[in-house]
Amino acid sequence: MTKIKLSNVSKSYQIGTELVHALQNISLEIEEGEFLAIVGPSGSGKSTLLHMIGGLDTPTEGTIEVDGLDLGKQNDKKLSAYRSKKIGYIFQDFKLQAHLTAEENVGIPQLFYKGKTDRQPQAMLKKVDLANRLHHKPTELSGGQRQRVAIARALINKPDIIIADEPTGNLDSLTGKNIINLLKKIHKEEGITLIVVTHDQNIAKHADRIVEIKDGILKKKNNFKKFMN
Amino acid sequence: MFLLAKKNLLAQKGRTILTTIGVAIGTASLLGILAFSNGLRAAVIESITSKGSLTQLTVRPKAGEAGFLRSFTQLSENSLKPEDLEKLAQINHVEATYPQINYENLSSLRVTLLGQSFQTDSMIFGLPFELLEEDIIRPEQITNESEEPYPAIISRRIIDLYNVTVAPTNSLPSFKEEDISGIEFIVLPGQSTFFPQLGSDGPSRKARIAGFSTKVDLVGITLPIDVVRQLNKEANPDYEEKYPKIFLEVDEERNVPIVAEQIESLGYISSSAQEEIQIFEQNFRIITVGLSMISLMILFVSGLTIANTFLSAVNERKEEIGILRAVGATRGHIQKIFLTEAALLGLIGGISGTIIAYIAGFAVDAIALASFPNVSNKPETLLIYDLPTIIGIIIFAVILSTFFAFIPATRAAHLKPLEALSE
Repeated sequence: MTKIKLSNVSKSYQIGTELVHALQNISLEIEEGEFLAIVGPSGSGKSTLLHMIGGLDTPTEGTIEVDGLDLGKQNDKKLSAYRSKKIGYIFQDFKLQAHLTAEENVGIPQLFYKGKTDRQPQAMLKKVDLANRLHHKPTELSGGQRQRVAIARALINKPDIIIADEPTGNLDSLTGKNIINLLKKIHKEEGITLIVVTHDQNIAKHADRIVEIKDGILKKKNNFKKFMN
Repeated sequence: MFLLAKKNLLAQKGRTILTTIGVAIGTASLLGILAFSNGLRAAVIESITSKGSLTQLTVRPKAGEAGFLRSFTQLSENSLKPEDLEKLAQINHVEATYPQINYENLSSLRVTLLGQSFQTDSMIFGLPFELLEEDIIRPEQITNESEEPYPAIISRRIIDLYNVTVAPTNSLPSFKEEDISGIEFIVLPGQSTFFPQLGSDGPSRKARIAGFSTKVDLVGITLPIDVVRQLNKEANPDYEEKYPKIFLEVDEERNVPIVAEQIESLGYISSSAQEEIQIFEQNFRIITVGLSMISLMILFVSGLTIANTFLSAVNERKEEIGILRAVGATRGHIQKIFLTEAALLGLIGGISGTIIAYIAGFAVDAIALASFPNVSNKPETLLIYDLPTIIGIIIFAVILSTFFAFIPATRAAHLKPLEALSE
């Protein structure tokens, strides 16, 4: 069942007098529960695509539908509700709030969530093996632990889609591997649609499908083996 | 949301403390000024009401006052007459009348104080002592026995004048009321030390200080009206009673203006504590408003500091705003977080300001009262803090802080999530 449908999506920015085409005419369908990796060189438009799926940005042309909801037609309030309810964000640089504890960071999305959620920050931190780091601030945690906190934060509102932008980009290879395994486990356990932007082939190889973007244009849609070939 | 706002403030301790100090200074100065206004107002009203209760009125003749010189030279043509007294007694809501008469002749007193005997001219006034009931210290001395000394009431203000001016400049001890109540002295009706040739010899009488009042005239002693009436008759068998003023007791406070209006329509002049308070309140309001404006300016400057602080905070906290937007915060949520922080600053600043005003107030009060002359109606405090004012000022500080943070909060709320995140 199609969860996300992108139809002829383009995104342009005006930088000074120059019009930059970040994405051009992208069409893509992502199935419910799919693990999709988006790869491509820096500046190719991967993150722009991710942000548009995540409701942080809107396309200049084309449509993005998530569960039939056309994101381009939603106002700010509805997009916020969409992010709160359906999306869990994981960033390369974790984006935790330095003055809050792990538990408080994980609990933040709940402040803005209107529906009911039975998830507790403690339980989420336990799920990512950080039950003993509830009251630690980000500066008291390692890089891998911080990313685990970010994952717990992404899961707290029981989202349908997890969007991860270079989740291992700031981590060493071993820690990165652990994070990939964790994401894979969560994907499997929760049946979440997982979209990961990455340079890391170790992540990409776990994906159900890989898409490559180059100069804002969607080049390939394949599984890892075909992609490597 | 509240806890998040609290944590955000704690994360920026230095900035929070400085901004709070700004609000606290503004709040403290506003509260201090209002407390001083309250204290001053209470002291003045106390002073006014000590001259007569809020149900009392004083009536005088319209064409000139039967003052010191008129009485002294027996030219009290404009005094009120018994028929006036009758008219006044018939006014609706008037419950009692207390006429004042003067001894219409020269008189002097011989007093022995601090081992020194001296004689001085003095006016003698007569009043029904029912009017002075509250001021009589030794009611047991008020008897009808002709052998007993006359009970005399003297003005409280004359003791204050002596204590503040005469005693310190002449190295004399100051007096308290209890020190001199009960002291006996000689009344010499008809005799004068100033104008001996105008005087006449008459029998001397003993009198005794029975109390002190702010209702009685300053320059003389006040004896029971019947005593003065008798003295006048002894001096002048054709004596006709005249009243320089008449005190009226009205049934209820709210009827005082109605009675005053009727008195004016009958051609007399009236004055009352209520009227004095009204005039004082009118003038005092202008002063209070003026002083409050200065404090409001201080608070306004504190508000501008808050606005500036929050504007900088919005720039510095763009990424934080971006994260919150990414995890589902609406513009309204962002605005609410910043406004809650501002309200908290206002609340903490308001409470701190109240504490500062209290502590500083105690010190100012102690210093000011120590330098205040020791007079009978000396206020116990110059600063009166009342709970509604304190609560009102704290609420005002919260509202003001929130108001000045509104534009920065709105700016924060309208940041584009992606732009904020990429900061």
